[in-house]
Formats: sequence, C-alpha cells, structure tokens
Amino acid sequence: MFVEPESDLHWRAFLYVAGECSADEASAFEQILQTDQTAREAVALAVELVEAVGVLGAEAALILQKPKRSQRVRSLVWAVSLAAAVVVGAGLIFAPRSSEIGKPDPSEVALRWSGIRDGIDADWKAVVAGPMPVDSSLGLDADSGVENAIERPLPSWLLSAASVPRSEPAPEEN
Amino acid sequence: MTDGEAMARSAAVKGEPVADRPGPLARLYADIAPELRRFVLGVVRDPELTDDVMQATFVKVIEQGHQPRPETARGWLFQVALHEALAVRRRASVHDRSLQRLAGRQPRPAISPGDRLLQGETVEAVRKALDQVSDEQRTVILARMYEDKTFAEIAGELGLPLGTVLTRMRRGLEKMRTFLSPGG
Repeated sequence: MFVEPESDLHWRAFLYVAGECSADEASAFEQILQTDQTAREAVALAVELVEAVGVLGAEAALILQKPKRSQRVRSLVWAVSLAAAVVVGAGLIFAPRSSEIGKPDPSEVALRWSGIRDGIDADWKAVVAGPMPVDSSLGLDADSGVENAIERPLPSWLLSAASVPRSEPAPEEN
Repeated sequence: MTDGEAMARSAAVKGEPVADRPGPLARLYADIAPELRRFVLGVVRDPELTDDVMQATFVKVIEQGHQPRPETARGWLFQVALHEALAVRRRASVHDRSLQRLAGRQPRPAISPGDRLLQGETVEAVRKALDQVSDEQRTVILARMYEDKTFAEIAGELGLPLGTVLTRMRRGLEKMRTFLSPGG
C-alpha cells in the first residue's frame, strides 16, 4: 500500500479544506478519508490552522497592510543602492573617456607650456632682482646681515682690480 | 428518545463539554469532540451543518448501543462523522463556502472568560508562529487564509507563477504547524 508522505498529506488536506481541489481531486481525497485516520486528523489540523489565523482578526489585516521593519529596512537599502548605482552610472557616462585624456591637443599643450615657462621666467627674474629672503631661523641679524651686505658699495681694491685692462701685459718680475 | 440520548444531543448541539458527567460517552466526547468538530467542519465547510453532523454522530453512537473505548473509538467515530458529513453535504447541496466563514469571522456567541484567556493564548501563539515564516510566506498565508483570495488571485497580484505561491504557502504552513504543534 502506498503511504503518502506526511507533508504531502497535510498539504492535500489544506487544499481540500480550502476548496482548492478539483472535483476529482476532492473525491479522491475523500476516498482516502474513508480509511486513513491520519488523513482525517490532517483535515482537522488544517481547519485548526485556518481558525487560528482567523482568530488574529483585524491584526492579520494590519500585518498585511504594514510591512515588517525588516521589509522597510530592506526597501531603504534598495533605494540607497539604486541611488548610488545611478550616480556611479552617470559618472561613467558623462566623465571624459580615457582615450580623450591620453591624446591631448598638441597646440594646447604648447600654449600651456609656454605660459608656464613665462611664469617661471618671471618668477626667476623677480627672485634674481629682488632681495634675498632672510630666514630668521638662521639667527642672522637682519640689520647687519646679508641684506645690508648686498647694498654696501664694493671695496676700492676690487674696483681697481676690475679696471685693469686685460690686454696690458703683466709686469715681469726680476 | 432516552434521557441519555437527549443529554448527548443537547450537549452536542450546544457544544458544551460533558466531561463532568459520568460514563464513557461523556469522556469520549470530552476527548474527541473538539478535533472531531474541526474535521467535520473541514468536510462540510459550514459551522451550522457541522453542528448538525456532530449531533447526528453522537446520537448514532447511542442508538447503536456502542460502548466506545477511547483506544478504538477514535477511528470509528471519525468514520461515522465522515459518513454523516458527506450525507448532510449531499442533502444540503452545499457549495464551497469561503474560508472567511470557515475562519469564524461571522458573529460568534459570547465567550466565557476562560475561553477568552484561551483565545488570547491562541492569538499569541499564532502571532509567534507567523513570525517564524518569511515575509513572502506570511503574505501568501494571510492573503489566502484571511483575505480569502485564491492562489491564482494571489499569484496574479504578486506577479508570481502559481507554483511559487503554492510553494510559499506550503512551506509557511509547515513551519507554522511545526511551531504550533505541542512539541514544536
């Protein structure tokens, strides 16, 4: 004799009680009920379960209408994930492509470089023409230090030496 | 009708326990009647007809002079009740009624404080049992049992294949049954 698994029996009992069986299926199950006490008890259990849920009454309706907290959290996570995906996607679409970055316009590069170089030249000229910056941390006195030394007139011996014409032969020593 | 028959009939009709009355029939009734009534309700799907079947079943026990022993009477009583239920259903040409009615949402007679306490415990147990199932399973269970929608309607509303809805219902019911069973 074929013995139906218990879970199948309970499921068939529920379908029978719920009126989800066809006429043939219901008739076949009622044949089983004629002889199988386990099947009868499964029917009683299915009814008990339905009645138990019915006892919940209005609370069941509330459960149906209001999603559980875990559902709400899950929905929030989904929304945040979706928003992040949209932002990343938009970034990928509208950001300059790597091919564009890798192939700059030569004329633009040249212009930019010349601008930078002019800037460097200007900065360099300013540095050479202007006074040397003094680093106070070196412990030098600003009044008697490097700055004043630059402005001080050259010594006379140095000017004399500089005025000696180079073409004139040097006196021979005896 | 004898006094015993009248007593049994009266008790069966009113749904009153007769455990305080002496005799094997009273004990049998107290032990089996609640489960037997659910079984009959599952077959006829009508509370009023269920009362009729319960009455007819216990009257038949008395008429036949059956001296039931609990260990043997259980199966016999269920079988008698099934025959009565099928006969009553044929006579009444009962069509399928909604599960809402089965779930007892029609006005019920006043319940005693003890019954109310028991019902409160049942509500709590069912609430916990529903917590055991997944959100998807719970949606299907309540839509089927409380809102009385067919599986096909539920599948249409959720945009799911019918087989998926049936599987969710089945798995959910198994979890609930396991949780609500005495050893669960």
